[in-house]
Amino acid sequence: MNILKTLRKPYFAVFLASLMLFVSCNQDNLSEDLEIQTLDEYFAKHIELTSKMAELKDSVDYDIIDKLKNCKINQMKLQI
Amino acid sequence: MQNKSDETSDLELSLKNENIEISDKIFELQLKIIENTRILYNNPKYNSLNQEEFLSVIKGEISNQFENKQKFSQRAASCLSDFNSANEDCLTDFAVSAATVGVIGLFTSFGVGSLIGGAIALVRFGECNKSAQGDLADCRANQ
Repeated sequence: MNILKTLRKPYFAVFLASLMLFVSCNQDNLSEDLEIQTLDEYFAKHIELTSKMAELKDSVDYDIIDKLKNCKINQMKLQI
Repeated sequence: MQNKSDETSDLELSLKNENIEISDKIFELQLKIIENTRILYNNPKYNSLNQEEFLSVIKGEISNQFENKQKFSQRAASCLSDFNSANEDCLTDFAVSAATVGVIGLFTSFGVGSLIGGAIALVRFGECNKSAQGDLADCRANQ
């Protein structure tokens, strides 16, 4: 049972624990969720979104803006 | 700290309580504009910039892209080409205003203030577009 003797050595356990620590947290995992884009890509998407929004120009008027402003004032009053 | 979806549902509730009917599409598109801005800000090239610096980069890019587009599109002088040019100016202004709303929404939070900004920009675009259409009608009547 020489192999079990080796496995029981503390330095072996420390080595395995250190190895686990390094392989479980590499740079790919850390940056996986962070989506990024270039300025050109941003512009293309921005124009797509603003063009869609521009089509809805008739669905908003000054009456809605006034209501939104009143809503903002009421919210600010509640915060004071 | 509230997350973005909590903020959005709180905002929807406030609007409902005040009987404000904003199209879901406008709501959704404004959120997408802010999300698009956030993805650009994640780029290490820009994420050390403050709000003003970041907005300045975006405004510069929008102006440059529209200027280049106008430079390369050769138009014969006509009522329609004048209208297209005027409408493009309206779109440029709207794109810059929407970008400003996106940057402010990113650095602060999406709330009534952002919706007011977006709504004002949209109403102004509508007025600008109507004015361009009026000029087109006048131009055609005078031909």
